Amino acid sequence: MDPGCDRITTEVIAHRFAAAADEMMATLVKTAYSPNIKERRDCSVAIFDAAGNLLALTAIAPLHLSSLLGLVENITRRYPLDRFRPGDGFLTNDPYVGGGSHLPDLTLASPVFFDGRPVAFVANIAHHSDIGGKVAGSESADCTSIFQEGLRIPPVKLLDEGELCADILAFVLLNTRTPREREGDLRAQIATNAIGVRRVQECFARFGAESVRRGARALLDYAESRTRAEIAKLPDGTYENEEVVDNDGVADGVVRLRVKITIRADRIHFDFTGTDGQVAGARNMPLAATLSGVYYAVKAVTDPALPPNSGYFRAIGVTAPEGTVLNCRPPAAVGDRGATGNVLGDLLLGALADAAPDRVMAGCGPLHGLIFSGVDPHRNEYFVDYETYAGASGALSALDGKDAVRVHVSGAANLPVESVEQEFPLTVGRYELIADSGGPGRYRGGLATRRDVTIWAERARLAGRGLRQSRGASGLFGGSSGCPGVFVLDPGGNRETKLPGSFSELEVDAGTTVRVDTPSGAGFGDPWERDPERVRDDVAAGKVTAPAAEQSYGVALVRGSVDATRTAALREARQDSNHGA
Amino acid sequence: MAPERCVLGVDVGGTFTDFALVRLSDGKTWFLKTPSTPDDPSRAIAAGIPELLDRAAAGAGDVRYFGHGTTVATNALITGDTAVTGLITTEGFRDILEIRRQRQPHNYDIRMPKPPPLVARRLRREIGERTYLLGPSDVPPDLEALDGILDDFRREGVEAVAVCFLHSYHNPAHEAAVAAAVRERLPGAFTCASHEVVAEFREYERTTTTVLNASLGPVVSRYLERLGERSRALGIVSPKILQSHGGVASLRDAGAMAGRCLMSGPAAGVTGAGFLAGRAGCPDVITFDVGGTSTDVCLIEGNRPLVAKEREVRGHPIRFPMVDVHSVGAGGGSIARVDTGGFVHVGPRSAGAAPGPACYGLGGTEPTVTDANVVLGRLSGESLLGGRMSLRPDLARRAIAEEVAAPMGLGVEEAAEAVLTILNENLVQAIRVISVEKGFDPRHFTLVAFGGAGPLLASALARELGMTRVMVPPGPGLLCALGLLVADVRSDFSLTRIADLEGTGAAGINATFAEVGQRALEWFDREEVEPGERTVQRAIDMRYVGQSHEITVAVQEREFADHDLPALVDAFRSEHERVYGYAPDAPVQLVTFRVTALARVTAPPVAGAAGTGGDLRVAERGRRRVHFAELGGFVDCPIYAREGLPRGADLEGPAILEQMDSTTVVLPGQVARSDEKGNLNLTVVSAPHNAGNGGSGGLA
Repeated sequence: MDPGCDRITTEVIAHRFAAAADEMMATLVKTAYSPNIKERRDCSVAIFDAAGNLLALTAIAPLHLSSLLGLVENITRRYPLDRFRPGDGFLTNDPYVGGGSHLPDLTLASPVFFDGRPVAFVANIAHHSDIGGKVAGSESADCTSIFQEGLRIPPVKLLDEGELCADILAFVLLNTRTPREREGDLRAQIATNAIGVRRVQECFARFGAESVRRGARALLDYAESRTRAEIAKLPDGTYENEEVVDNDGVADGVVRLRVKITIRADRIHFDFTGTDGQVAGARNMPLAATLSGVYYAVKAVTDPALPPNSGYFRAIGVTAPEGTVLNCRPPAAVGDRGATGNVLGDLLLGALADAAPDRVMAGCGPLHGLIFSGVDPHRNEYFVDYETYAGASGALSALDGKDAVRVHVSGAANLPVESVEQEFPLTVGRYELIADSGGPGRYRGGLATRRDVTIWAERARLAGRGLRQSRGASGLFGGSSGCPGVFVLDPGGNRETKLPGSFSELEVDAGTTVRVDTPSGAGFGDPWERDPERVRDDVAAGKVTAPAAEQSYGVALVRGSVDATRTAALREARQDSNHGA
Repeated sequence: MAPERCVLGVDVGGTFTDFALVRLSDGKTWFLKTPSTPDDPSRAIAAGIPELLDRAAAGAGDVRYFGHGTTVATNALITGDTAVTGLITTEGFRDILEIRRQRQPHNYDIRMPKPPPLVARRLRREIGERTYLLGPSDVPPDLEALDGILDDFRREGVEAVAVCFLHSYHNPAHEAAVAAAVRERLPGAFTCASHEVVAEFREYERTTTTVLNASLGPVVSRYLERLGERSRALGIVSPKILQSHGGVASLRDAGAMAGRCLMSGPAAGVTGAGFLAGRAGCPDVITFDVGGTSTDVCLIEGNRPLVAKEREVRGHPIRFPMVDVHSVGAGGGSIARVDTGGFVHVGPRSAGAAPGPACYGLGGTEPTVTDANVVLGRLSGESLLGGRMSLRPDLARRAIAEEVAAPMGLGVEEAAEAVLTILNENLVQAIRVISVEKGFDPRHFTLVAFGGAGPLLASALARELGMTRVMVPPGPGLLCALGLLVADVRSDFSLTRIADLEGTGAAGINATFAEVGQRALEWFDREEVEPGERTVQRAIDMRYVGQSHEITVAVQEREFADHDLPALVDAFRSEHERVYGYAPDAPVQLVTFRVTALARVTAPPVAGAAGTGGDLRVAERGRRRVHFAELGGFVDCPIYAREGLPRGADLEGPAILEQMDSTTVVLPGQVARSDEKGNLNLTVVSAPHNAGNGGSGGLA
């Protein structure tokens, strides 16, 4: 057969898989129960071949990829392929034996049967807002072992030939603080895989098993060759970088991440040797999570449209020594691996800045998370509200950073204020951009956000976590750092208290307000070279104040316009002082 | 001669203004096409109407109904020529519009910027006020603070003001008080409050919708006022304006809800296509409208197009009911390219009108879908538009050879087939999104193909989807004009009142519907709709307690009694089952109550086609070599003139039917037949499920 014709079939099959994944995603978001999945879309779906190669992925957060890497191998280690039956469904969440990256991400995988044999797998991941453990929301940076973080589920059969295993379900539900939500979300996950199984079967029926198998192989080769072609465009060389995580979640003291990236022709290799050892707190990353960060970075600086499948992964080499914070061993706690993942994003893009200055962004402000829990006085029911608040992205060579966005490997949406106030005993006092927070640069970093939340439940509990609180994200090519983030209790009140960057089980009275100021993005290039008209626009918008315009950018304004004379004088004076120094 | 009653439809597009006048006694139709006058589209309308009336020997007073479709709102949005808009919002929340849902525009494309907010930050102003659902007591709006804000707005030349407060769907009083004060103190501005525009929860989506409505308000109102004046000067009835939901509104309503005509153009085509299909006995259809750069598809069930509650418009979610048209960036002018891994991609880049496809000979060198069709002989290599445009098939061949065949190592015809296969796959996915993903099986629907390239691509698409019926209406010009003449006068009202069904009961449902129904009643009165002509449809957005994505369920029009509630739950569960494949026996919540008020329009008759009986050969225009992969290559294929096709005669594929503005392909194994209304109906045999070789072109 003509290889060119085969390629067209392969491409059509690739479209079918991608469409099936999209449809699964839509089903999951629409049928889930918890705001975390339905409003914030903290979930992803995937399709694998029978050997476990990832064929198609619809991911809201690139980090979810980590729960999918190796998923099928982890299941088949416990259940050989020949024991699978149509209608089976496997539930898992464990980073060490199930391929997950932290416990709240519950993954459900189902084999797809065609002609009596398993030919593929479909899977979906949903971030459940509580899976037990020492804190409500099951995510706290100060956990010191995975056993504190919640229920560990190895790959187990939740569905046996289409029948829901009531024992497993009851077991899971008893171990969560919010069983009703959990059951609804699990049912949505089951419905999602049912759709996926049907669509993949239709694809096999349409093109035939042999064609699809060959097509799947060709799809992986295609992704690999396209990725290699993109890597070949980057200049050969060795690129190094170092970043720090504020602390390990339990004790003071920074945690260092190091990378050496080697590019030779169409090969790229990431070596994390030199990274600090795994830490006592929950900011460790399982290897799969680190890989997902690497795969994100390569797409971001080359071609974002590269198909995310196992062929793509084949083109990228990674060395991460075991026992480090980027490849932890059990029983290290991993609940807050996303925070480290975002610093990892800065580490990798920063390292690639010299290889591709026009394609990287300066350091980013990662999300801050709060978990509210307690008894809702109106419903007389236990509640857990898991929320994350966006920081902002760093600037690029010709683009200001984006204000108020999730960055790098994280991607979930916010919860509407009108939704929060309906579903939980909480009110929101303000939700806004923070003026002057964006790291100055020729292109400015994105502005961070402020959200004030007041709790109306008696003896409610608070848990919080956020990175880039000790120092802001780093600028590139002369750009300034972003602002650090901070949690404040009772801002402006007489009991105003700055909270640490990670805390849990903080009991608060009804009427207490907590403020989250997230960290912002860093600048790109020398701020004193920023086009004065852009600075003027920022001042008019209230994103930069007039004093900051003079101090950080050397731009003076008069009655809303650039004062050209004073601006020139300011900028000249600074040059002189630089030369003098 | 006694005056002949007639109805008039005028559809304004970017390039042309289409007029259709239908005589009610026999359905005889007159058409007119004139160049549009974008600076003031009403000028072309005012010039065209007397000309058309003249042709039909009718007077202005004979026009009983005047339906109008306009792209004024869409154009304003595309060109950025919207009104300078100010937003007044709850203290602490002016950045809702810019924070959005805090998502990145793209997970991996870090260079993709966020869409700029619809209102500049300095024009987003806060006043002290607050409504709470639970907990603290409400804070009334600080009307004193308004003066300073309005002074600034005046200085900034603000022409439109949107008022959006948190929870205004629950408590509209604060917005109402502020909007009234703004209207009084800034009388020149177009002012709207979010509870008037869309009284539904989720502050970001409600705010974008309200702000968009405000920014279009002055533009659309000014245009409609001019149009009203011109209509009065001509002595014809006031026009009804086609809205995004496929109904029409009076000038006053259309101006106040300017954002509701954003999808007027696609809605006209869908409504017209649905009407023609309904007349031909097909209540369930999928419309397939292929233009140069994009394709619009829409599903119609039981003669009613699906209507979406929300749609993203230029990166902003807009919560207006809109005909649920799904668009993909693939059409006749879409460019094909081969990537570094050897995959073919078709679109979203398009060659546009200049340089256009390579075969236009205007300097284009990139291969397009049109070029692929020329290479395969599907399109005449000589000319398009009935001979008005000559083509260069050699350039089409060269483009396909160099840009597709060479990098893939394929023959030129195989490469052209590959382009069509991938295009077809894009179109298959578009149709799956509106059918399979919503619980509809496309095999039970008729594909109605129109637009320049729709009939060219429909037969292959239907075959791949297993759809057995394709209908090609007589001419695209007629479709939109007809859509304008058959749309009902319509307005939609909604109100969010979240309540568990168990707690609220029939009394609660009736109370909320009374509240929404009152607004519908006032609308009927304002529009002077006779009591006998009033139709009301009611629906409730429902979900399981704990879910937050709602399903809209149509409900009874009479008052609810407690014994009606089990049926309501059943209706919700069966819809949930249909859409998502499962429906647990769990408590149900009511979220948003919807009332659609309709005044039915009497559709005009459709005249029969001028077709003759008799022999197919009278329509045969000649033969040419056309490539069909399933026949192993080029075959000698008959070419027919669509207009001359005898009624009722079966025409077996392979065959090509040409008409002035489009070409229909009848594939081998398919049969085409022209009906008495001038529609062409294709009976399609589904795709061969050969295991060894996949693509929908069935490459041999």
